[in-house]
Amino acid sequence: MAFTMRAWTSVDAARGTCGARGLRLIGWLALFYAGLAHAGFSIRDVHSAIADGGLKLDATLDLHFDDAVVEALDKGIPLEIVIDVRLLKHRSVWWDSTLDRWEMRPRIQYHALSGRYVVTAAPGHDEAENFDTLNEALAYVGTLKNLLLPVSEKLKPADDYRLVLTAELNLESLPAPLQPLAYVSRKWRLWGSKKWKVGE
Amino acid sequence: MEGRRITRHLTGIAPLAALSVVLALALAMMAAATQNSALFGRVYTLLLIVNVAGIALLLLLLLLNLHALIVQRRARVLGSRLTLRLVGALSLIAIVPVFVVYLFSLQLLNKGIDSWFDVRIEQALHDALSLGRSTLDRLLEDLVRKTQAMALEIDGVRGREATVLNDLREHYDVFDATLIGADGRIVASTSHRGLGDRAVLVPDRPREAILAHVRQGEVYANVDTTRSGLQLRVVVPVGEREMGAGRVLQTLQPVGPRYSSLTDSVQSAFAEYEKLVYLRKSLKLGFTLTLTLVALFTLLLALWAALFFARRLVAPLRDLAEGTQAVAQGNYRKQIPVTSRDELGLLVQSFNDMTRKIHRAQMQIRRSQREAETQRTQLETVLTHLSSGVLSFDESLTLHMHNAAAAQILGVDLDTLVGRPLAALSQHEPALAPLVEAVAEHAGRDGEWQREVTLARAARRSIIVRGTRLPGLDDKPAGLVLVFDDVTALIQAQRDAAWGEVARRLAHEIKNPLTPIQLSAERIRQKCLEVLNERPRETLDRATRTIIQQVEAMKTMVNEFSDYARPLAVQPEPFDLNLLVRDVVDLYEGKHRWVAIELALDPTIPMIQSDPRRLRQVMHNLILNADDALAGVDDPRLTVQTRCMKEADCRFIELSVRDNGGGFAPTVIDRVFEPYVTTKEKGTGLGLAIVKKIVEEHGGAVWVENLKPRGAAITVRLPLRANAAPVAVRESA
Repeated sequence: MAFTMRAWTSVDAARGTCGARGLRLIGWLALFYAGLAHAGFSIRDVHSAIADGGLKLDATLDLHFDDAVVEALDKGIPLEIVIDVRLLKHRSVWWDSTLDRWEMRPRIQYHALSGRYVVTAAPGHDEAENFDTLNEALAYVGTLKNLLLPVSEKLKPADDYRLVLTAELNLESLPAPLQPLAYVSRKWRLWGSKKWKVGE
Repeated sequence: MEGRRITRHLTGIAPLAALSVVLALALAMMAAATQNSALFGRVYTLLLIVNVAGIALLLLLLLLNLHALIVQRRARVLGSRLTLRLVGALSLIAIVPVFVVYLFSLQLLNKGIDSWFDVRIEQALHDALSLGRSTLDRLLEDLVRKTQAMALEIDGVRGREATVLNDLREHYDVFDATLIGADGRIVASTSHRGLGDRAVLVPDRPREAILAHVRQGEVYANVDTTRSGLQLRVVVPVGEREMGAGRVLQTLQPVGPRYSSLTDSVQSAFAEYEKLVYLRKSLKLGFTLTLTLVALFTLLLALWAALFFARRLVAPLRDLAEGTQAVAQGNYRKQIPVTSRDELGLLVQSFNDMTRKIHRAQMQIRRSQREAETQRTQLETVLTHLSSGVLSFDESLTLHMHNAAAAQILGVDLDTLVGRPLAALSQHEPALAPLVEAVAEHAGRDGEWQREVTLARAARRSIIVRGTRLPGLDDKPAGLVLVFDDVTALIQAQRDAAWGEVARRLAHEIKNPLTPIQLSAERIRQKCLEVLNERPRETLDRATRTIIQQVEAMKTMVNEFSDYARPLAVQPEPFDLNLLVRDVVDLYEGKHRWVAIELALDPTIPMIQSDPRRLRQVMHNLILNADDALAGVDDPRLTVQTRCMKEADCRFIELSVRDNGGGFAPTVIDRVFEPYVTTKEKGTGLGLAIVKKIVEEHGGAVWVENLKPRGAAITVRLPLRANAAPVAVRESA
């Protein structure tokens, strides 16, 4: 399946998007991140394999929105989900080193006139899609099938690689007045993560 | 003390100032972020956290400061009470207006936000949306009809689907049409779009879900939102086939530009409004939060400023208080630093001047005291060594001060009488009664007075007393001071001088007629004795002898007087005293063999520088005196002794004449050297007086003492070198 640069963002291993991201981390820490994070997203049926030109990835994300979030969506607030995939080289003694990183930012918005949910920039999809119900839209977003992630350096099949997939609701994209509430509320802190070995 | 250092740093200006600047910036950014500006939107939460944390820190610092202040107040540190009061007052001045403005602003804020929302507008937007929806529904219906018609027509066509489809599409004026086979593959697709459009190469497929839905015989008609706008999508089954199989026809129709722009505007307006309605609460919260933070920040800044200024204001006052305390404790050297140019600074300067002056005055006083002390000591020394007696009384005639000479002259222990009234003097020692009377008599009068007072003693002493009033404060009387000298000796000398004068004149006057009388008597003897008869011759002989003898005796007496009276010119020459003594004694050896004369002469006495003639006279008189004393005594013995005074390094020689007679009577012994004092029936009583005169003129001393068991001794002490100056005051001879 073809894809364009718009579907994901490849990030260099050594550098992250510092600045805002780093600050956000601090912000989360300051607000007792560990206590407030609500694992609303769950990731299952993951499978990855080394292929020509990169990594092939299959995964199903169960993205459940709280009523409060749905309400906001229905009132026209666009929601963005950040899907972050990291390729790690596993090391026995030290921490795993990050080799590559990809980011996908699908967006869901309710279109009042048509009464439908519009999904843009879904992982692996180029065009926008319209859905009658939110669940359909979320199912569409959460289905990763045959997603090809280009790698910067050749992968050796013999090496031990790990993949970490993290999906979270991007609170930064929310309008400013909503952000404080969102950061503090458990309903809005939707997040999920999974780590597995490449090849499984 | 590390904790205190840290606390001090924390309560200083620097951290507060830095924090305030940071907070101000953060607040400004947050306020901007609330406007939903894209730049700040991302960091809104972060800013919020920074602001809250900053304000919390500021609050903590302020509380630390306040706590420190309260601790100081409890410990009664100088200036803490005033500082606390000032801080309290300033805080109140700051808090009340800020609070009022805050509440008012909050009200205004809420009302302002509420004013954005109007029910009618909301209703209008809802209505517009409904209108839009109904328009779209109509368009959809239209498209559904067309698609169904097309499906009917294309049903059964095999092989030429593309052409037929295209014709149909053009006929029905549909933008895009796609025929999908039963297997899901595209059979034909035709589009109004140009060749350059990507969609021509990759037709827009409906999702699997839609296909499944349609294959069940349902019609799918919906509005899609695409990048290029709203698009109608209709998918209908083609032909009546059994369920789960068959072909489907999809038509796409973008909403026309006219409708598109209208629906877009309705959609966006509605969406925005809905969003706003939804965000209303959180918007209010956001603004309230910002406002609260700003108000808190302002308040805390004001409090901090209050603390700062209160401290600065009170600092010089505290220094002043400390200064006054120091002064109260007697430390006049404390100087306070001047830190401002205002009235407080002036006060501090004045205080410093004052303490400087006091210190100088104190030094001055100390110096004066020391000088007074020194002078007093000097005065005491002078008084102590004065030969005149000094007594001072206060205004109630209580003895205040005395010197050693006074005690010695008066012969009483004056230490016990200090603080006692004048009368106590005579009570203690009755001999002082005349003195007391004299003082009492003159006590009331001003000015100086002088009296001669004789103390009623066995040994009569005459003193001349001079009294004067002491000057007191403010011309009030402050007692009196007496100065007196023992003039007994002086008077004695005066008396002696007077006597001498009288004697001299008398002698001179008497002497004159004596010689003619003697001569006349001798003449008579010479002329008449042979002529007369026996009886008259005897009478004349006896009578004239008597006259001559008596006249002779009178001459002797007069001569002795002359000796006594004559001022002697001492002609000192060195001679051996022992030799002189032996000479004189030899003379008497022959005459008075019945008196045993013993000599005890010290052979070691040196040569004495003196007048030998006078000393010879002294010896004579002494021996004669002893002789007289030994008259009628059993075993009369006379001893003459000389010795060199070893205790004075032989600067004096003592000559003593002892007898074992009856001794001197007690009534006489004090006056034995006065002229005319004698116990003999005959004799002038001048012998010892002459001795005393001669001895004193030589600068020596003579005294008598009674011996035990009986007898008397007269001792003469002579210096090796005689004094040329006479002792008593006399007129020139």
